[in-house]
Amino acid sequence: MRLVGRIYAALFSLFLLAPIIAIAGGSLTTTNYVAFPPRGLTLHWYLQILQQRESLTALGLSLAIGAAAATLATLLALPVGLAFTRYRTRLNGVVYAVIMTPAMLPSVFLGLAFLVLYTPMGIGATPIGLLAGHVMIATPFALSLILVGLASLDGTLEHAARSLGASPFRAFLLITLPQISWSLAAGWAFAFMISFGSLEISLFLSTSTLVTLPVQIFMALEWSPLDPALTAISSGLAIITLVVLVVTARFVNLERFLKRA
Amino acid sequence: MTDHLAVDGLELSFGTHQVLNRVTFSIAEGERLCLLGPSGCGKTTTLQVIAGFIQAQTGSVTVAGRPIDHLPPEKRNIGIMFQNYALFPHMTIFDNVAFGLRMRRLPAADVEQRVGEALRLVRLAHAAQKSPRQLSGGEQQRIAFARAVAIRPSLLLLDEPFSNLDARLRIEMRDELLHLLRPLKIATLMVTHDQEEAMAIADRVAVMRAGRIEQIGTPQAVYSQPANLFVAHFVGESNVLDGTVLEGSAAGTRLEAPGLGSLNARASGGLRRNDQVTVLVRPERISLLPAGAAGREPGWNYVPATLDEVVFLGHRTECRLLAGARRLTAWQAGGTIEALRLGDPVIAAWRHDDTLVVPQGAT
Amino acid sequence: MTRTGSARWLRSWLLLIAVPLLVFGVFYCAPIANLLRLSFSVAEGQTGANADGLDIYAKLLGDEYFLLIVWRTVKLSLLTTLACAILCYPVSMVVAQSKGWAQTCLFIVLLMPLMTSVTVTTYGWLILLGQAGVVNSALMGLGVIDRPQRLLQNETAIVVGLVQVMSVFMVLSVAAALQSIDSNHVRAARSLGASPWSAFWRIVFPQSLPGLRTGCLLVFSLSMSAYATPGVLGGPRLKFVSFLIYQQAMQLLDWPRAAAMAVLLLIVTTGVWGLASAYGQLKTWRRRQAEAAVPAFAQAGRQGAI
Ligand SMILES: Nc1ncnc2c1ncn2[C@@H]1O[C@H](COP(=O)(O)OP(=O)(O)O)[C@@H](O)[C@H]1O
Ligand SMILES: [Mg+2]
Repeated sequence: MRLVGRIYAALFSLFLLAPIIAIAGGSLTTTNYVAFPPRGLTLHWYLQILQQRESLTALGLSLAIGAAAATLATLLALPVGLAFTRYRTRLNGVVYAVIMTPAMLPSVFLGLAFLVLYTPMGIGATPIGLLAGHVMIATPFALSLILVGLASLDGTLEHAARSLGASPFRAFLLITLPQISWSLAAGWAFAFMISFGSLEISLFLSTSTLVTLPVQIFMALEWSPLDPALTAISSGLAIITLVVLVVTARFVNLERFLKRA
Repeated sequence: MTDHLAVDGLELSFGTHQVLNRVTFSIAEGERLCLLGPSGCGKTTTLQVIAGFIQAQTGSVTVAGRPIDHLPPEKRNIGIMFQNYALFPHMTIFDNVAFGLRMRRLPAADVEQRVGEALRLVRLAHAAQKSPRQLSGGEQQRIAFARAVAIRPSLLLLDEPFSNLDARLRIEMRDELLHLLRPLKIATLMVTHDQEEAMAIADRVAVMRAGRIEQIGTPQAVYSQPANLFVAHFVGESNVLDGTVLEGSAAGTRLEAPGLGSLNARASGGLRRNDQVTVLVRPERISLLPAGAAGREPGWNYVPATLDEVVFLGHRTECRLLAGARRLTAWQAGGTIEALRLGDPVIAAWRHDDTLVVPQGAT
Repeated sequence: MTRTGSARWLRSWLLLIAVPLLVFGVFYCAPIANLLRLSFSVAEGQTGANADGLDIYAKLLGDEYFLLIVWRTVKLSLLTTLACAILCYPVSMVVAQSKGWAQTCLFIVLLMPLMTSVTVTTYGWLILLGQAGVVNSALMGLGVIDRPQRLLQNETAIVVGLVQVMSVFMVLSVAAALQSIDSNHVRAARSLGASPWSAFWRIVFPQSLPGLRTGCLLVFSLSMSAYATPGVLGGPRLKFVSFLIYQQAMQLLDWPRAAAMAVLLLIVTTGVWGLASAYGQLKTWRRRQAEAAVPAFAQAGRQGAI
């Protein structure tokens, strides 16, 4: 029974990873169309993207927006999480609903809403607008991880620090912050990946000169889906994701996800 | 004795639920007071108000004649030992104990010296560089104590200090804590729901119920003269009987207990003939005599009964008696009842002074 | 932690909440309110007595083409939800039981599709399911088919792609519910004579239902708003509502109509959430009614025990 379960889980994992494996494999082909399994092995296509100005610019923009959005999302989510755990009030429910809904609403709906109001606000087709949109969809992920961290925090520790003479700020800095740093890191990483992979929001907020990597790949898919250079970029994206995930898993006990629900 | 801590008329409600109801008590310099009450009666809340984590709606807290209500917790110089110890898990033992001293910006050399002192006091100097997780429950508790006293607090608060320990360690740590507290002569407020702990550690005990202090006194006084039925039940065990007053005077009370005949009890003011009262007798105060035993001494109540059940509990034997339709419990040390068998007639005897009378209505 | 009834805490609460709330108000709530407003506006050039704010909606709801696409979106989302529930439940059990590095690996595998950009995974399916793709070659190698089949641009491809992206939500929701079940419940059931299967069916499964419900809601609403997966795997014929919205807004530049479509999509999606939470509330309400019947002393006893 156990064994059957494990075999099934392994097969299911293969199903989940199949497209990513196909991309990574296809990017190594020596043919000048995508073939999976690859015919021969070469890193030629990876070297070629280094010559593609647009791809590199798009990658740079995606990384920059992702890092900035994740940082802002974490900075916005932390005080909210603290307010929720310190003060129990019905208002928390309202604030929670406002901040968590971007993760649940249709992203096309959000993208359109952002476009329609950001344009008259003067940030429609600017990096600021793109960043603002990404912050909105990344914050829910940062908040939910920070809340997991705060929930596992022992509230009396801060009381102990206060009774020993620490001001509220110092008690937070010296006691609370070190305790929840793992959840801040995980929240940041998840927010980063959500922003880094987001397509719909970016589609609405990008212009011909302001293109994130997923948007660029998506556009290219329409014209030349069998270009191996495209698989190379895509697999680069997947590799970055995997690295961030593995690093997060190294520092964070991912099992805590199960405590959230 | 001057009052070191004075708590005056604390009131606090969460919504309609009144958690503290005019809580008033004081602690003299060097005195140990214990708040004793069932779980949920407001003990922790009282501590939190004194420590400054919760604001009471009315009432005041004074330490050494100075009101501290407006001070934030970090300015109160009150040492707290938390129920779960609240040791900082990301710091070493040394850093835990040093925390309060560093907050006071003591020079590093002084910090080192005073942490050393505190750790030696609790005999854990060798553990300075360990992390809290590497220590046993009892050791963690000693560190929590060291951390709280290292700041030389003007008042020490202990919240259910033994509740996280298993039964054996609990008694060990109780003696240890008493041993540590005595020479320090710090005014101490401890909170517990365990009457034995309270009596073992405290100079005085304050029995609390539903946000209200029911009685304050030495352990002996609270045990032998409970102010009401609640205190009598909570502190120790009692036989509870109904009675009707026949005659009340300064010399004593004479009353009629249905099924037991007439009894004499300790004097209790304000009782009149025909008042309905509750009669309390501690089980360890009841002696058993064989049915035929002769000789009645003055100052004792004698009640004939039959032996219904005997339960051997090691350090004592619990005898359940039937006196008419009434049940009585008597505790006997060791083998005094070896000669008796179930169903034998016996005589239960106890002193007039061990018979307490509580007016009915005063629950 | 801190608990006081005074206005002091409200100030500190506001101090913490103020900036995030302001940011969300300006960059999130305002755009949504504005979009709602826009969807009720009168289309340009349409003045006169019978032009009112619901004009666009009336036209949309009478538009068979639009309704067809809404129906397809709902149908395929439901199919995806069902497939996820059936396929993921056993995986959740494995996740809930596994420990240590095995569990970590499972988590990474599950999170990969969520964290990898949806364009990348969709592209992967394009390669796998194409005419010269590995699935076609394998099927031919096994002799199931004799020439490459068109595996893309159909509804199955869309569902396969969606299941791959969405399963993480189902697995994590169900596994969380499974893990919170006291393992002594199963032991108790077994000791009372239940077979492993009936212990699962009568003890574990009912307790995992809240997790399954959460998972289904997440998968359904996320599938409803999927854009890239149906767009790429379904081809131009099998559009989803979100594609229509994008087209209206970015290619035809008809923002009010796009706004109305987006609002309708939102209503259908959140309507399901609403139904589910109403159902949940009905259940709590029923339980409260039942509890009210419990004698008062039992209640008091319960409180005393806390
Ligand atoms: N934040 C709160 N809101 C409402 N009621 C509370 C709150 N904190 C404590 N109480 C109630 O106050 C009472 C006293 O609690 P506490 O002081 O912790 O009791 P204990 O004597 O066991 O330490 C309990 O009945 C508890 O339910
Ligand atoms: Mg308590």
